[in-house]
Amino acid sequence: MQLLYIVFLFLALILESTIIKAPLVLALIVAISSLEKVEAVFFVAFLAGLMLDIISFSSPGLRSLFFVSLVFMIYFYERKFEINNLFFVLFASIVGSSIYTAIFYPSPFFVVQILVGVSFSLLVFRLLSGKVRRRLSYE
Amino acid sequence: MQKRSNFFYIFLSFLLLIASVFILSSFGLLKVPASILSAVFSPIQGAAYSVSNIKGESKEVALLKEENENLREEISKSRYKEEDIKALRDQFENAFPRSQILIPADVIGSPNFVPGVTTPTELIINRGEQDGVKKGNAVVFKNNLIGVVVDTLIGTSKVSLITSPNLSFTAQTEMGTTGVVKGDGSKDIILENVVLSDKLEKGDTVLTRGNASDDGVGIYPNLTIGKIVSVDKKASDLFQRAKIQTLVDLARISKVFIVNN
Repeated sequence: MQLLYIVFLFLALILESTIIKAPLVLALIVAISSLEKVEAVFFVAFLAGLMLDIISFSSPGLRSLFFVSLVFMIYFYERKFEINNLFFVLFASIVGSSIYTAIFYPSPFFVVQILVGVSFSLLVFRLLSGKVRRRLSYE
Repeated sequence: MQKRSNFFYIFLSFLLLIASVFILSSFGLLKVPASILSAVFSPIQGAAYSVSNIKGESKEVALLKEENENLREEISKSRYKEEDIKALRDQFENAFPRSQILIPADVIGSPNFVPGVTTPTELIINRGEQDGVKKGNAVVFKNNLIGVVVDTLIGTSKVSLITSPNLSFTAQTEMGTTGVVKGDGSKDIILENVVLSDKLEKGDTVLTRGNASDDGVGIYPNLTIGKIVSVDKKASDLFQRAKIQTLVDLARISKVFIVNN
């Protein structure tokens, strides 16, 4: 499972830093946060943000701050909302992607960028939620 | 509740970690690890960028485009030569750099570029400080100015393209009309601050005027910026402006050269 996360993260990092200027890493972090409620997600968010900042020539730490805060917000509201479902992923990725795109990739085509991010988030969630559920039922 | 407070403390500790990253980075202490990470990722980024750059047009169209580009360059060069002879006759020194060194570089990324949606305004290239690249170096493709290096790491650099609104420099047309070139973030580049009495015509080639410093860093003169596609001239305005289109498809460029003295 962890290997799948690493593969997705690596893909998202490469694509976002080269050809697709959309919040792919953020989308992945939203999906992982809603699937796994573990402390390690903070570390993933921090590391992914730092790596993305470095390879995209941004100030190191900016994206980490955004991603870590987003993970915290998601976990903070987990008692009020059921976060392990498609609607929450949709909501969190729309809100997160909108703010993220406005800060890091401002362009007149931000709607397209947000749509790409949200679609990626939903896709990852759909692909991995079954595996997570199966793993939890074994445990 | 316990879990939630745990998350709060974890969040706080990560905030402290991020604060230390900011501090270390402001003192330049993250440059080496950043360069290493960048060097690890740059070949993969380069490969991904090349894959995305596969041309959708036919070979014939691509060849014709290249031929057209070369012809334009030739015309521009011959006009420049004529002016050069004139200048020599008048015993003016030819300002064109003679000892420039070109460093070839591959494009490995293009931040803020959504293919088919936006125009690239920045490029990441796989050459950095270890290759002699400095901030302010001009980046060219053939005789065309592509942009200027704005940030460097050990093995990679960031180039602000001529389409970027953050880059502006002086330029002149073949007829000698001078102005300031500035990108507007879209496909077109703007030539502004051109006095009304000067002649600007659609189809004119716009060249750099040069702003290289005494250590050779900067933009060299007579590099092609593009051709004028429209002129905006109103009698009531102080200045006229023109839209320029680059002769190079910046969205598809995968190899560039850094001018380094």
